[in-house]
Amino acid sequence: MGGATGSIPHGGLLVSYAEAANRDPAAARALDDEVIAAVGEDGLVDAAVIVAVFNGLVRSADGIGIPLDDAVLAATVDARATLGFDGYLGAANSTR
Amino acid sequence: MAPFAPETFPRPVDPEILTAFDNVWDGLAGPGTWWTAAERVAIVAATRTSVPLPLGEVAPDPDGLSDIVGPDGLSALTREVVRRLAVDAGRITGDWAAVVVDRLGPGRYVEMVALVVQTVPIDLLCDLLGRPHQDLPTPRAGDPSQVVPDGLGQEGAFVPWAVGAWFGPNVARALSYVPDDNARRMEVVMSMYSGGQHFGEMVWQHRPLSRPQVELIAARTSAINECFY
Repeated sequence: MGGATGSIPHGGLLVSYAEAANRDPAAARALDDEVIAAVGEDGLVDAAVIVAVFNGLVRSADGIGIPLDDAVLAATVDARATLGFDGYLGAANSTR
Repeated sequence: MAPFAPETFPRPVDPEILTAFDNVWDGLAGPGTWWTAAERVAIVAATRTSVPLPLGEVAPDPDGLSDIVGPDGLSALTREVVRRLAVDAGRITGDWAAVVVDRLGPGRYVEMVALVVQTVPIDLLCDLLGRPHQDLPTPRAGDPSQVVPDGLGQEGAFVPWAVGAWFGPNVARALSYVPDDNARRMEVVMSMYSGGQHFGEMVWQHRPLSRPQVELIAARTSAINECFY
């Protein structure tokens, strides 16, 4: 596990941590030592902070039906199609 | 001692974040704009106990749920709305929201969203750092203000929000129907993610992770939650 994702240092490990933290927060703590070895204790806390705050942001967006901001909507046509994001239920809130 | 005092965490957490958490807890204990303090605390308690439906079970039609308040201070309708927001928000549709907003009113619905999105990050951070969840506060007396802010309009979201001279991302005005809770929610967001003058900068040196590392975690979290926005 670990390594870079593209040019992002420790990107593979941070993605693994994000996946574990979202699916089973208690189990994610099994990765703590590995994350600390890579980015330090402050980096581990920072990763946890980002997972946590985005779990609020996604609920804000989906609960309120926030349409994607116009500039982002226009700039991400190809990326959304390629990555399958247009298939998410919430996409309807931005394309109605 | 403040509820989220630094020494209650097993690892060091930015004091600005802990101040935002303390403010959420103080706001939770008081009457809101549309719910009493006791109801607000009950909504957060229900958030904590919400679980996804078993695979294959169809979510209940909100039109058919009772609005009679039970012993926990919440109705079946309110409990199901909390459950959907807490653990199944990616499956919220415009039709579902229209029914719920019609039955609860936009203010009560938006305030429920506000309570869920303020407390889920706090509980999750505690889980990830191995800290017990903070005890819920004792509700204070008082009535909801029921004040609808000026300058709201229907502009693409499920509920009215700030319109007119609005500049900024839509997510920042999402809960403008309940300005006090929205301010506390934005304090949480700013302290944990987008803080102040740094948001427009592509290179971050003010926190342990670089901006690409932060955005990688954020993007993966959003994708796991199937959040289009």
